[in-house]
Amino acid sequence: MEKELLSDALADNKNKFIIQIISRENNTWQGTVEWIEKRKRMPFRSALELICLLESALDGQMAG
Amino acid sequence: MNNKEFPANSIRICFDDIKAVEGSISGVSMETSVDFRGKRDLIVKIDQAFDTIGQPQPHQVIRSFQKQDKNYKSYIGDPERYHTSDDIRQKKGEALTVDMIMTSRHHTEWQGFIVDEKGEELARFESSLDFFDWLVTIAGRRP
Repeated sequence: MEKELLSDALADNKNKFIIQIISRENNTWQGTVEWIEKRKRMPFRSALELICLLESALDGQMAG
Repeated sequence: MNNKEFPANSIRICFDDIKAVEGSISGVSMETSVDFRGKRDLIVKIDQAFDTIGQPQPHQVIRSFQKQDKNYKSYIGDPERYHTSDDIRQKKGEALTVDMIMTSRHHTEWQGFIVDEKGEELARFESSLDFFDWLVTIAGRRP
């Protein structure tokens, strides 16, 4: 079910992001992620935060 | 971790399928075991599990595209133990079983070590990227 929702969302040309890695301190990544459709840009301090940001965007899309 | 007490800040990761990154996580201070499917899911669920356990606490609030996405709990010095160490010891993944001990969560990341079923330390990690690098290495060493 989750996979279907995800593929539908991607087919709709939604959920596209531009990720810019600015530095790689503390064995992780720092940079910015831009959510193209919503025109929102957020800085992230780690790969974990990047994944949580992507998750929050995808969760919001699936919730409607 | 043979014959050792599992600390509250530990999680057993049972992989049923390494390639697909599928399995479940459980811990003495996790009320129920949680299934994961994919790397992203595993990362999010481990992070959520430690948020719920209440230690170690994250040192920074993780950003979100949504408002009020997470409800952070206060630090819990002595988290509730829902299961005995033996309960957790009995959980095994079809492909691989490892224990993760999270010692801190600085720099919006994870720090800790990975232990095998016998309690031998396999690796120390300084971030989630490090953690996955080690998992790939450990999975590659399997007979």
